[in-house]
Amino acid sequence: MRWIITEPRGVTQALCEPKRSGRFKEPKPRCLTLVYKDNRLNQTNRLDVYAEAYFARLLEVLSQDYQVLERTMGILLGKHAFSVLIADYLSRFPSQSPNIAELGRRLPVYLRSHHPFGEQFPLLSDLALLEWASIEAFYADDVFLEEKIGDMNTLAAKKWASIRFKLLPSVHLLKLSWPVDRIWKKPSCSHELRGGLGKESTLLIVWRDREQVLVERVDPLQWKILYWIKKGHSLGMISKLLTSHLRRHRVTFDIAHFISHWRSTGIITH
Amino acid sequence: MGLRAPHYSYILKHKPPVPWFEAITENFTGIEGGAGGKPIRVLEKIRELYPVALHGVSLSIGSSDPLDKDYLKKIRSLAARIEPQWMSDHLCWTSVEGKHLHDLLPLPFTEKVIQYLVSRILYVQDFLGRKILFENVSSYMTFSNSEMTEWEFLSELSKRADCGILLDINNIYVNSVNHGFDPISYINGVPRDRIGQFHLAGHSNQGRYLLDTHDHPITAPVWNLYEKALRCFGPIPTLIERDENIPAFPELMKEVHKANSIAEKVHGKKRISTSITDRTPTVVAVDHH
Repeated sequence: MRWIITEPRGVTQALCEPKRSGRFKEPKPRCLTLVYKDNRLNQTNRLDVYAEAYFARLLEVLSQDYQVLERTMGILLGKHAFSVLIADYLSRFPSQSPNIAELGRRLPVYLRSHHPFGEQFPLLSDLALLEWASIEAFYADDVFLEEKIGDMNTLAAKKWASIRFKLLPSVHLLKLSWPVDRIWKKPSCSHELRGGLGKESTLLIVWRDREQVLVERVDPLQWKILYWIKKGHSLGMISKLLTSHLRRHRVTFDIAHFISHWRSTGIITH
Repeated sequence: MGLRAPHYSYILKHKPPVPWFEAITENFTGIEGGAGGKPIRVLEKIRELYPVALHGVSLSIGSSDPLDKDYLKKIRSLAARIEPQWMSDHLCWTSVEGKHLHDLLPLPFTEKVIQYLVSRILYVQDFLGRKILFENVSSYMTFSNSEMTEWEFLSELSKRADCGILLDINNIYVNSVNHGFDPISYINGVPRDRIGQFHLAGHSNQGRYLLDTHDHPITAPVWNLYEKALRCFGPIPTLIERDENIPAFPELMKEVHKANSIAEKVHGKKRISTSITDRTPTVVAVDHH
């Protein structure tokens, strides 16, 4: 019976076209006879209440989690495109967590690797990645660590090199192929979408400042430094890596400048 | 009153005279890799001001799956943090073979199911170190192999599992229409000493059946049934639920006032339980282990 209740197309259509997926093997009469029969509502209609509620509820949750994706898909693919995507997604990845907030976790990967919409418009999976990162930032643990290092300009070189910073749990580093932050920040830019948003390497940090989720573009140098901080490298190691990988000079000055900015915005802590 | 996101800022700013709030447990257990964020911060602030009850939707006590220990650990941890007056969930199944439907699905009312549920409820209560209230769910189908009425099932189960009952008055009414029984028989058929809380909510009329949508004001037949329940069970703490078309907080307070006026009519002002802390629950332990 469960496949009928969980079929996003509804009970009637599932019974009419049971061969849509190989997993639908239960014959019609067996499951329906489990439902008490009376003259108020027939057995199929009673099951249908659950089937419709199942899809409507999960669609509503994912619509809230992926508001910008839904709007963008509406512009690019028509108003029912998001519902079609979600029906396919739920068939492939039914919820596996008691927490409904986890439901959309796999949608970005599903769009990128398994769905024709993602192939047709690759920016959609980047947009989904950004929206999911914002959800993770929303739920991330709070950390209140005391900053003990004070003014970094006055530190001796040896001590400076040994310092390790940490990214706050809410910080996500995204390396995307499309400038989807423009859509995220201005979801109504439909003319830009219709005209074709150009592919463009986009590096973003997503984090939460108190109760607000923020998105900021960073350049490749900043992104690298944050990435190495995330890996747990000391400032001395980051300095060496920058010098050898990027052949940059005056890296200490660059690092100090960025560290100061990120400490003030609260995305790194000691 | 049910604690809902659109009301967070109003509650924290105006501190309305509501005796307690009920929070949906799973909204505050976080997601993988993060159990904090805005939701838990808000709940902790509200907990500083009001008693809070935690109401779960995903325990899936009736599932054929084993109980989810990770989930139980999460809600135990949340309970340790929030110190809720009550914890409750639903008498239903919500998952099978590790897949979650996020719906409250009905159970067959049989002796075999009672035996199955008793052992699981005893385990959960032992694991959490407290008694749990289980809520009767609204339903749109019953099973042809049921051996008893819903209220007989609920009564027998609560006695044998030594759990409390969260009696949803709206769900009784919805089911009475959808399945054709007398709601008064239901009220008269459940044990007085097991009822720890009432829920009231609105439903929508779909023509041939009622849908428990929590998106409308409470209807007149549900208010009438509430009055009868108060006469039968005494001054039970009552919660107003609204999950869709959520009005401004003061608008929702009108339903709280109406519930209070009915309770006053039935029991008189002095007998009304205006707070869960001024009624010693008969079946709910609040000790923490």
